[in-house]
Amino acid sequence: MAILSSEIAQPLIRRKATVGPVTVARHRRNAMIYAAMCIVGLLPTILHMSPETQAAGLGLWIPGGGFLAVGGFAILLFPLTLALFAIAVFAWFGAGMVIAPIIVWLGAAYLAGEMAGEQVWFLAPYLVAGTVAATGVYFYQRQQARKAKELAKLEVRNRGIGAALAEAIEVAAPAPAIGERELTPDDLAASRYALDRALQPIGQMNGYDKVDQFQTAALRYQINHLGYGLGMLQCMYTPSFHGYLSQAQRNLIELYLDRRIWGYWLWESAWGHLNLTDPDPAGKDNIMLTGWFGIQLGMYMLNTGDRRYAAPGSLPFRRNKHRVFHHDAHTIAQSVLKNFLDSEFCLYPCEPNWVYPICNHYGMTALVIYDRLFAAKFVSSVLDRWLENLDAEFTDYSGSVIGLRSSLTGIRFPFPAGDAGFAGFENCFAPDRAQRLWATARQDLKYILKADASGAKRLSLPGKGFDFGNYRPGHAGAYAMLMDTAREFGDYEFADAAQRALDQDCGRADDGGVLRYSKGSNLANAMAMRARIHRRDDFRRTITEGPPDGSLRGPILSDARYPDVLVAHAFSSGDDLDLVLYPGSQPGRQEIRVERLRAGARYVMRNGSEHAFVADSEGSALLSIDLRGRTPLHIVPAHG
Amino acid sequence: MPCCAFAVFIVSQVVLGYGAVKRFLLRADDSLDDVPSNPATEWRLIPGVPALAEGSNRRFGLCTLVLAVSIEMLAAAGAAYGYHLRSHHQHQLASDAVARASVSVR
Repeated sequence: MAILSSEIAQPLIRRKATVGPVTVARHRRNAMIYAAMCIVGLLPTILHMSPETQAAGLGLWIPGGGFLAVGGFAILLFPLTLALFAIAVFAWFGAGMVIAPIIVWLGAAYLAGEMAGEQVWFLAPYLVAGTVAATGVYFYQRQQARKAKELAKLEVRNRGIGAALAEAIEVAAPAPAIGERELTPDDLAASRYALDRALQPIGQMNGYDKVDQFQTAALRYQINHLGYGLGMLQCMYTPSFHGYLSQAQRNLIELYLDRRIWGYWLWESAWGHLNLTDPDPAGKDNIMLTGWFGIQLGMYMLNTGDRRYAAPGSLPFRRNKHRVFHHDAHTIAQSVLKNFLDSEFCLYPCEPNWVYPICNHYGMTALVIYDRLFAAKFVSSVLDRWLENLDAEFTDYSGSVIGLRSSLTGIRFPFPAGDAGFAGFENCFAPDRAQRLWATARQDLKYILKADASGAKRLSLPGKGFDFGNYRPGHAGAYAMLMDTAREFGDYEFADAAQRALDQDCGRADDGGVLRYSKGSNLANAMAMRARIHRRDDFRRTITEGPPDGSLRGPILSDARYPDVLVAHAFSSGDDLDLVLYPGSQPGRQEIRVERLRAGARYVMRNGSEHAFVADSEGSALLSIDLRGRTPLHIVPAHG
Repeated sequence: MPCCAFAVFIVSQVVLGYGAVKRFLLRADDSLDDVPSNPATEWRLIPGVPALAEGSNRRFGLCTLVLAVSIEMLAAAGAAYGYHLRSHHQHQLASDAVARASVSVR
């Protein structure tokens, strides 16, 4: 096995600073504000001001600290306030409710002042100061321990990065030739999971997990991932099939405009930005909408050549009958770019003030596909600064991208993230970095590659897992994500091991011609569907290239009944149409419509035998075919 | 009274918060084999098959919301009433003090 020299591999894990300059500035600001609060809070005690003022002042040192000054049973309110403060911080994290911790902290101080009697408890100042000091020491020690652990991990990674990279490159299969791709019957069954959900009438959301609309189980992410799966399927396997496959993607895009999907932003804008008058979902922040949705829009438009969503106002986010936020593919991408340019971190928040690097990867990927569609230069105008800030502000001591950071305070919040999750996106705009990320992740995850009872390799994650798509136990989402990324980098052994784990642990069911994982969330199922059909560089090619030119201008299969006709392969080299169809239920005759033929021209449909037909004046033809199992069809112009 | 009302308010937040966290994040009291099937994945787009009934989760969520709103309203009313009582009590004390002062002047 070829080993890369450490001189080549070493710089791949690099950290200019352990904490970036913007984060340092935020920490300094926090320290100054807190110091000011402590001084203001202590003055009433030093100056022997009224008990009310002293109690309120001590409440500025720590949430609920003022209750210690009140004394008596009020002391019990101190730990309760701390618990409430923790919940408020969770609300801040979970739904961008910036005002929640402030209200709890200052509200508790005010109430303590109101409750104070004729004198303060004499021990209170010492207890408050002691608690603050102990808290500071605890967090400092925890931070140091985490730092030591991450630095040790960096050492291990740096020693092994050369071999890890070499191995990841060596095991990677080449990207398959695009025009020869064909879905297997299992792939078709998996795609039906997504098609079933996407083809229901717009506005209905049967088969979705409905938990909350703020965090990872939100409907918007389920819609996005169903769209990505169908978009990649169309680009890589059936670019010359529009019909219900394009309809399904349009349905998902138009469902996304439903207020139930994006209405969370009305709340977050109010309690996070204190903006009640203009909560534009594609205005300030909210990259979890613009970045994710931008990819979905771009995939559809790049696959089909349909530019309807580029028309001004074609994406109306309707708040009520009086207020509509008019957007389109351009304004969505412009929002991402403007926020990148305006943010001191370059990366910018999802929920008000929380910057998730993963959502910013979606955002950068949305700009890549936008540039490809409209020959813009959005990515080149911001990518260098974006990557510098990713390294400086959002990378930990071990070289891994962190989960999230508060743009307001610079605080890093513990949130699970993994290098594998970022690698697929970076493959679209920084492929060298992506390769390093995957090699590192693959090395870190080798311990979960084990043999099953039959001796075949499978992944085996420890514990009961956590499905981000419905907040229940389970590994379906994690296995699907790892399988998806492994396939993007051509590591089919790892991907197949993930597939085996999914099949064995996650309730694989094939009933009704639809392949699903009954123990996974809808989000995990959408990801598993995409992972199943994924091959080397498919995501990158879907984003940066799109379908082959012949399929964009040649004949298309424009209509077929779902689920009676399943399309496993549909390509054109410009004049012909090459199809592989399956019956979705019973074998028998089905009608299909072909369009973009030359008007009035003679064609031949080859399917074992030859059948001649003439395209009508619109360049279309309605054909009757006998579907029995795998049915290849080749439509070519008739000569002579 | 105000401190009791505030305590009720805080406890209600803690209890509801813990319930939410337990329900959404800590449902780990069963082994992997016992991970429940997700009814959402069973849905099929087949003409004539009715849509799945709204899950019990939604009804449960609605009940929780009603309960939470009721507790919040009670807690807020209690706090307001307590604050009113305290203000009244302070006003009474101040009046008494003025009365005592008046007597002493005489």
